[in-house]
Amino acid sequence: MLKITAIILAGILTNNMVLSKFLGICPFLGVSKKYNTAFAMGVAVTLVMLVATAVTYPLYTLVLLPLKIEYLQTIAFILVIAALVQLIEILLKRFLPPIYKALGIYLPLITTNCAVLGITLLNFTDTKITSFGLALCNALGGGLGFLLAMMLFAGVRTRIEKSDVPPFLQGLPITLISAAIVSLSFLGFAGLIENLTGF
Amino acid sequence: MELILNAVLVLSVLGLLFGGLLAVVSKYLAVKEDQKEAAVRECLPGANCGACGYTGCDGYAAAISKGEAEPNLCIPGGVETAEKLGKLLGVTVSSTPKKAVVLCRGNAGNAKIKFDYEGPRSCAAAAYIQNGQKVCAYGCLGFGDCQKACPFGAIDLNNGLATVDQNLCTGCGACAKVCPKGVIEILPQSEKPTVLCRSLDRGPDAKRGCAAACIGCGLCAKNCESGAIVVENFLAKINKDLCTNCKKCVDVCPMKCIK
Repeated sequence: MLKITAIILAGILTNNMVLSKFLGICPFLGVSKKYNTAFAMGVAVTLVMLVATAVTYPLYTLVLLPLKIEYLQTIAFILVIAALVQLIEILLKRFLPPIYKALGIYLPLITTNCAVLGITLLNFTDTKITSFGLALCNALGGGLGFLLAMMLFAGVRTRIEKSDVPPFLQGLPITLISAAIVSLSFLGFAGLIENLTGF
Repeated sequence: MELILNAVLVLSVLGLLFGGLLAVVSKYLAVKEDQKEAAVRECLPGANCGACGYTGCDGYAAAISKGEAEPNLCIPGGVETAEKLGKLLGVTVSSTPKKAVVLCRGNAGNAKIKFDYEGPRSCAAAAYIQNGQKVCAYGCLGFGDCQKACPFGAIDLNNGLATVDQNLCTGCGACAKVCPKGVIEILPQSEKPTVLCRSLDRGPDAKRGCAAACIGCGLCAKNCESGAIVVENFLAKINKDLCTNCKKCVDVCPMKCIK
């Protein structure tokens, strides 16, 4: 139980996908202008991370590893994730139209999002993750961390919109600088989880 | 050799599996889209401006295909879109393009200044202080809120007065919405003259504030052969339905505010 908490909390705070691993910067900068789009994107990414892990973990352990072709993991995972996202999109459109409307354009955008691919690959480099369940926890933590980063940054950006930015910094430059500052603040969490839980 | 074979086999099987799955799913579970709606949507310009009164182009296309909306409501698309939609639906539509018109000629040369305004360079901000820096409380403030709002780059600031490039303007009305003075109106494009002033001040007061203000003298109304001009609250108004486009009012106006 403690291990599960440690993995989820690490995904959200110390090993945040966006703010400490610098993965998924594209949606982080692209759709963080408003709270509601940032939230929809965060939820979509979390969902896809969970589903992608649920499929890639068995694929790796049951197929790639026994056949000694682990080096194919990147290309195989891209294939799987892209197909899965398309599948989810079709299913949502058919059976859950309101959710499809809310997530609609964000789902195809994360077809081969590097945060999603990143979490599926990192499941096998992290020594803490030893089972399928823990890999799912890691995906959930990563997704929630992405959601948190999106929401925090959406707040920062709505304030930037209203502030008096010097002309040479307007637009992307000030966004990147503030992203760096938000990321710096997350450095403060370093070592927290290890010392709290012992994992 | 076996290693290569395994790699090729695994990837091919994965590809085939997911490809086949997607093909089956998209064939049997796909949501049927309304053909008519898609065709209507194809004709619309896709600016999603909402000028038609619906939620973007998709909403308008849905309303048209259900027969709830007229096909001539798209303002950015103008006559061209209306005609295309008319052809598609088999109905005849009439539509004159609408354009933004700045009803003010108070540029830096014409309009007098009440005080030097040093605040944020925004009409909305300036309008809060003493109704703006110009003596005339009705005219263009010239900080370009409309220029910033225009999605088509059709508005320029010319000597402290917003001017609309008629070729670029689509009549979407974004400028009219942000103007704190309401000096921009979206009017059907026509050759007929318009009174380019909104001042309701008495003649002498209006003249003191701006060299191009309508002073409500009524000369235009007296000279109008079709009785299309009425002066109300010291401001002339031209009824476009009655106007015969004789342009007498343009010649006779002492302030040259009819164009």
